[in-house]
Amino acid sequence: MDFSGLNVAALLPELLVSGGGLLVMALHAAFRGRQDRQLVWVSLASVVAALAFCLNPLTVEPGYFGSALSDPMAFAGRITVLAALVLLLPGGVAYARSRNLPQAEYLSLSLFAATGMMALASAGDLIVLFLAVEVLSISLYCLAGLMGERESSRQAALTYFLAGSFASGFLLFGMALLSGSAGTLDIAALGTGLARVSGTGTQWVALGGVVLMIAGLLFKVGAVPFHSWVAEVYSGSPTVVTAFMSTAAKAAAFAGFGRVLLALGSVSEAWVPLVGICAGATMILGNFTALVQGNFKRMLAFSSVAHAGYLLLGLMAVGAAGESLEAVIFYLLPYVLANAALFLVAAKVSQAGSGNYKLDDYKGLARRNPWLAGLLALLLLGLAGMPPLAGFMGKFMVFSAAVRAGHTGLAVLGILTSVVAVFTYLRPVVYAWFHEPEESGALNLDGGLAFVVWVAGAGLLLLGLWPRLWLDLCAGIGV
Amino acid sequence: MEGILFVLLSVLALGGGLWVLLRRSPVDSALGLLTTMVAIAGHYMLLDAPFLAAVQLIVYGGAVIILFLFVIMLLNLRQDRLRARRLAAGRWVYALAGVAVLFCLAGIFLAGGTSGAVDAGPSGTVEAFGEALFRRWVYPFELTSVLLLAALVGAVALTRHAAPKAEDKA
Repeated sequence: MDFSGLNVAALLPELLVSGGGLLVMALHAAFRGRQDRQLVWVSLASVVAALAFCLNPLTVEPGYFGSALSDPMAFAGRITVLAALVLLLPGGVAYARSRNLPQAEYLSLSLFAATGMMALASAGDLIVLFLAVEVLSISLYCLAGLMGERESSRQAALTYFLAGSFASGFLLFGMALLSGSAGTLDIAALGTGLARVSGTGTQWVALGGVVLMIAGLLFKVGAVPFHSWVAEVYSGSPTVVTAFMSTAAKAAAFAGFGRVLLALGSVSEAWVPLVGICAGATMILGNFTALVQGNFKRMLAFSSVAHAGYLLLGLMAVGAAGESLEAVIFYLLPYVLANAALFLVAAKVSQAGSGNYKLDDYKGLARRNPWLAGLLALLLLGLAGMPPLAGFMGKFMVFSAAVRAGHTGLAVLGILTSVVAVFTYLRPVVYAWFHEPEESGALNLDGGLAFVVWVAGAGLLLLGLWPRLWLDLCAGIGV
Repeated sequence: MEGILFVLLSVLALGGGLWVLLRRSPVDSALGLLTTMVAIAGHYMLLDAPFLAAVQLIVYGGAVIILFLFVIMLLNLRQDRLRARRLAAGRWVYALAGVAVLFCLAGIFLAGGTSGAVDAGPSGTVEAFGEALFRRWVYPFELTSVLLLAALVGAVALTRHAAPKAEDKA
């Protein structure tokens, strides 16, 4: 048998992580669930091994006949997903244990979802792109319903499943039309394939495919007008799963989205207005809806809709003026760090307070745990885009890329809505520092959560002060 | 001849799909799905892929639909217990999307169909099929197995651990 052209190294991160998922299930079965407390270490080992392999300085050639890429986008996507896992898995297992969720299933489904996310970020052809989207979606549907004793969790899983299947249908149909008219499945070759048929009747078929595919992808990233599932799914799912959805899954979806739009740059006049309208509407609706929420989890859900709008703005610049994906790549990592930590903090504060994520739980947090209140402020301001934190650099890069590509109006809209976002994010901070606590007594963090919050805070500061650190790392590896 | 067969099979496939959607009885829907599956097998024959057509008939037409029917009968779904479930929010978006697809299809029809530029790949013998599946497309193939595994683990997790408790009726 001839194995030339496969190059397993190109797929090693995915293999390690999915292997970790398998091992977790096997060990769970072998010990009949008695050693489930140790499974998190197995999962973390596979994630760290994948992370170490991604960061190795050797150049990895694309593998599997160009289906598995190892370009900067793939690198950044994989690192972002793996970083989210490192932050979320320990806290997630503690959360699962305290609420009586099945730990082994939580861990293995998370690892399978991460496999799909990494495959999506590194997908070289449309078939892999679609399958990767499905792997991550199916795993997330199940994770969303893991707390099935609660109506809200079951409802979240069902809504996510229905909306997601609908989007998958769009995506697949669009891909069929697009690849049929361009004559190729290779994402990078779509542009030349489309150039060949421009001016013929097939052009319109391709256009239909592009529109359907973009609609499917907008659905997956939760942008307006396909955002209706976000609030219900994000607030109904177990909080650690919501954190995973809004960080790693979103980063991977944007990596795949960016790759597709980059390839469709030659027909950008067809999709730029479409994506532009959606980006503007997403920024406005996401930010204003987040502003009026009295529930911290829902506020984070809508704020992630708003961030999808900014990321779409970054993607538009890519197609139009030959800009690179640098701005989007940079935006994602601090967003993921801050959001992952904030959701875990939300779970902790809510558990110690009302139990249903009310913003009132944050009143007087500074008296009960000043370090936590300080880091909460740091993370929220990081999301809001305050200098010198990384969120500011991310927004700055996205807006300047948009201006260079000629979308000045949308960039201005982005800046204005960012001002609204500052109010949203400042509310819990003000509650924490300038209100009397409703409950007395210190609120102590356990070691795992403290680690996550400190790492995320340090990451935001570090990336904000030395943005080139991350960008050079992305540009230097695997090109 | 091929053209007539194509139209005939397409009508059957689409009709079966509509039947699935429009009938209230789950058994009727499953039979509609069977019609669609068989019609698609016919399409594979037209595309010169006899192996794929046979697999389609055996796996989908045979095994999957039979499983569906078994599940429906075992669950003993009654008409009056099937209430319509709606996606509450954003219904207009779905409607709009449906209309968009319709326009899109109409446009394709008017524009004269696809160019047929895609390479049909190896001819549909078992050997050529295996060669393509386990060399060029081995990565998507393996990714599919991760997909199935995740679905399996998820199904077990949802049914074993996350079933609604009896007192959770409020």
